[in-house]
Amino acid sequence: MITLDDVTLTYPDGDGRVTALDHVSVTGRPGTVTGITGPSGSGKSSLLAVAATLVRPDSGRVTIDGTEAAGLSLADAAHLRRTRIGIMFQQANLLPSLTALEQIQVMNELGEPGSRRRRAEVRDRGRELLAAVGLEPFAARRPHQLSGGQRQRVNLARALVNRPAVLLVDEPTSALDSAAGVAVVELIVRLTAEQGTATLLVTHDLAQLPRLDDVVELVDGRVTAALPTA
Amino acid sequence: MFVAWRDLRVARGRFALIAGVVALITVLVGFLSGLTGGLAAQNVSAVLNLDATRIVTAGGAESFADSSLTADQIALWQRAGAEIDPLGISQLRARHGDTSAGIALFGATTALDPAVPAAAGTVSLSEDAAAALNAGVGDPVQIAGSSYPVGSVTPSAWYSHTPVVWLTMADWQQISATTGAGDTVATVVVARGDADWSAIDAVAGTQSAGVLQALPLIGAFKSEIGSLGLIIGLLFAISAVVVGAFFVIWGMQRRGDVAILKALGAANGSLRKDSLGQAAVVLAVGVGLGTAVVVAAGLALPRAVPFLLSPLTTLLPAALLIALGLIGAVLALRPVTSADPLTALGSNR
Repeated sequence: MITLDDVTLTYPDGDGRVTALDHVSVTGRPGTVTGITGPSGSGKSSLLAVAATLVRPDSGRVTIDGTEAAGLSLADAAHLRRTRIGIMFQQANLLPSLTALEQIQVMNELGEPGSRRRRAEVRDRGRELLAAVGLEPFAARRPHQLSGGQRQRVNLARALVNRPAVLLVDEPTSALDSAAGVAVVELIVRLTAEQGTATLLVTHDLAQLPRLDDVVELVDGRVTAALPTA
Repeated sequence: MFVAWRDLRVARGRFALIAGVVALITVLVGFLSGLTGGLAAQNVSAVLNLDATRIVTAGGAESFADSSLTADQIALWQRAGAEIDPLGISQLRARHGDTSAGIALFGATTALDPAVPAAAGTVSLSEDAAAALNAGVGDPVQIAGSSYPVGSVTPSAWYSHTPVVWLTMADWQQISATTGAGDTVATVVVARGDADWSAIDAVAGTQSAGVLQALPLIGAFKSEIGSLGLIIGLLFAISAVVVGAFFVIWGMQRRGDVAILKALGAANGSLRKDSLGQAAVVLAVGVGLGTAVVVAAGLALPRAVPFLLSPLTTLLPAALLIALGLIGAVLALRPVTSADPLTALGSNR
């Protein structure tokens, strides 16, 4: 479960400040995908950054899997991201020197040595996730040997390796053609249900909204509506 | 090291290049260290090998060549209770048959060095003197117009880039007198034990120093070692800068990847270890290769080349290069630690 409660975020802008999020409240429930939509500059990415503990809000509460996340130190926020949050980036953001399987395994190498799981266990989990996203035969390929859709699938598998409570997805279809986009979103929805994550999915692709469980629309940093889905 | 090892594997060419540069710097430093050590040994090994606590020279002497000790001065040192041995040093040419060579003539007693012949009228040639004069035991060697048969060939000993020829103090004093230093009893005194050195110096009109402190009194030692030492020091600094600059650029190129890792939850400590581990591997490979080349070349060089192959001229410079390279890599960590994970979101990449 993830809850953003009355969150306000401002950025410095010249002599003044611009409000990116204005008393925004959003809840993501386990096993469901909540879409965050809105026009450019509406605050979608800011909301995602706050939810990912990459930016501290000016006010309001952010609760992730029972942890109050808004005031965490940088190190504690990194630990929370590593253990309880999965992030699926817009541009896949795979590391060029790693194979598809290693992109997933690397998540176990980010903390201090004492906090890591057994490598064999992580490798098995990686293979399981690659199978779940239909990429097991591509485990040894590097990013440049994968298509855009395949890279996004690896991106998703990486985000799920630590069995996160919260999955944050940033514009997953923006670099894909429509067929690949549909396939990726359907995969996110299926794995969200299977893994029980509370997923927030930022998108401006209105064609994807009917596949989501809930949709919140942002305009000028404010929640304007909870839109109906199919 | 998870990402670091894979970066090394994938970007082989890039890392081979910097490892190659490090290897070349190591070869340069290693050669210069060996050469410096070799030159230093050819300058001072005979003095360094003396069993001495202090080396005593005439008061005001700026070099051993300037020093001339009288019988009175030596007697004062003897009366002061110090355990001493007078040592005569002069440089001249010796001849054996058609071969002549510059030598350092060391006059002393066997109490100072077992290489000194026990009986007057003979000389002991150090290995290099024997080689330079093409002489062996029993051969006559001409020195300052007199002939001395070679009594023995002794281990290598050098003084001011000339090989040492040992003879008795009486023979040395006789040769010294014929070359114009009539009242010179010895060039220096080698003193051992514990005494009030300053007090004796004041009474005897001499100056004394520890063996290492006395080495600059040997001709050209100071300027020779100073120049080569400066070059070696600069090379160490250059290696640190080169390695540091490489890792700064490498870190800047990796900022995007590091931002992703941070966004995924990477601890700064694990990122630092990854980067420094990568630097350590590159340095170890480069320095290892360079040191291997230096050792191989040192073993292959002809004896005439003054090159000292020892841990001091191979392992010590290698360890220093690795340490300085790692310091450079530590200073280059900023692009890694300052990468902003927020840039991983959106379409920034």
